[in-house]
Amino acid sequence: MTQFLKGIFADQANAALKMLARLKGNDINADMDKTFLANTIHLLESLYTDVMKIIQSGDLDIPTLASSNIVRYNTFTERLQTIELFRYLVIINYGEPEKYFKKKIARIYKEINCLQSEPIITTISNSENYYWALPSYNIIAVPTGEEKNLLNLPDMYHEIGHLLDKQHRAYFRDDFIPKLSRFYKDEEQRVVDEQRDPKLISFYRDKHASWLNGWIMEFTCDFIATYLVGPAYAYTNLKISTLSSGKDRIYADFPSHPSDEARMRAIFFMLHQLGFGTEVNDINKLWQEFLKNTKNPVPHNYTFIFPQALIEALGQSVLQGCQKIDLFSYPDQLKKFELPISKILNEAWIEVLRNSPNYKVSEEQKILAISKLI
Amino acid sequence: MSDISALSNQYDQLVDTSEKINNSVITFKKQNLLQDAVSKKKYPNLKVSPEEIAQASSFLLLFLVNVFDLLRDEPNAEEKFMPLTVMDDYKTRLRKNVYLDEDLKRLQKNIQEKQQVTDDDLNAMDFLVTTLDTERNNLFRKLKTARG
Repeated sequence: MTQFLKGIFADQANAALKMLARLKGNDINADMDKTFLANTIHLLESLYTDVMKIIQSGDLDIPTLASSNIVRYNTFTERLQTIELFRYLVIINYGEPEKYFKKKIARIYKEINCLQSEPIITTISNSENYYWALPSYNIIAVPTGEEKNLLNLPDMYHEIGHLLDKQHRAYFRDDFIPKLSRFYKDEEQRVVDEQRDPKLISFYRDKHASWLNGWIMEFTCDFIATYLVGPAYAYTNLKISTLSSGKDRIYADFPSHPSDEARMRAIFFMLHQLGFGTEVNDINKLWQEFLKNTKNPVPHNYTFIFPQALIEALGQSVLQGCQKIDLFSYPDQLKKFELPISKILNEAWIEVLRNSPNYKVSEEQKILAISKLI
Repeated sequence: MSDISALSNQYDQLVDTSEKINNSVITFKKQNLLQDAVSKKKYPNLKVSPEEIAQASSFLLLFLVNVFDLLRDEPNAEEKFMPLTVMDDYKTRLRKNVYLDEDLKRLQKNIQEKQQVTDDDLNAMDFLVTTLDTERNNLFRKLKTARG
């Protein structure tokens, strides 16, 4: 066993060295972000050093440490794969679409007055995994070919929200946390006082935990996206909800994500705060028709999972957070810039709803307009 | 809008706990070996400092308190060791070992009283760690799948 463990640890060190050799070679795209590349090399070197320390420590020669060394090996493997999947592949696949998105995100950050360093936008995602962000690595992934689409782009602002939330979390949620705790504590007390089904207590604790572990973050990013891109974000959410409806998931919650229905209420709340009452009425008519047509089941006790009062309290808190860090809202951008990208996205949605047969041509023209802007 | 941000945070937290517990267990295993003259001679580079033992004891004791809370369904099982989404599954896996409660109480007593840990104690620690390893690996798979 000791010889086997020594062999696989040596193989692990070699895997890190091979990746390092490729990253230090000459075939890396010159436009690749230098800091991202340097940090990736640093992470791989640090992993290599840690693996070598174990190899040289003599621990691998001790049979009684075998099970602990296997756990170490598994952890190193996951660390190596994390670097490979979320950094190495981003660098190796960096090409023309990434160069385009680099300019586009720079423009968006200027328009929204975001002072953070711009993330790397990579096209290593696919249509199923769609848009995702990994704030710890400052990357946003979009599906391959996404540079030719506009209707999904409002979701880029949601992913930007994840990066902002990582840095400014306290601004966005600190006012809200006590209100959330109070709500669920009161509900638990009501179970006791009114002799309701005791199973409700674990139900409330489970939902309270989901709020804390995932839902606050996702709602926060929805609020930020709506603040930054306005009504277009509601339309994009409706588009995504269409996919959920086929799986009866409009009202379903998951530990990491709130239901589509609750998210739409959050978006409407923020739009109201920004003065888009008329737009909310229009989109809400569409949304209500959509709910009627899709007939997705509403879970038992749904009212206690996503109460409107909690959504609004978090919305207020995020709005104040956005203002504190001086982010430019969509209305601000309209005043400060002649043609912000957010405006082009709103126009794209209006166009596809009014004149869908003509949308293909119109989208191409708008993408060209963005290219000229950046 | 994938699950990746939430999963990544949860995974980082679990890696931190898993590494700390595993390192603590390694420290105790080494301490045990050093009590044996044959092993001491066989592995001349083997050493453990009193600080390492103190740190390992302190971390393991904190973790054990949390495991007891978890096994008793106490609502105050602390989230700082692992995400809530993992706790239930970890608990279910631990409960499959019917002697665990007894083994962990003995382990806790030995560490608190600064007694030499026994082979049974080390087996109990290994069980905690390998079960944690499974949870961490499952979460990593979810993270990879979320990325695609």
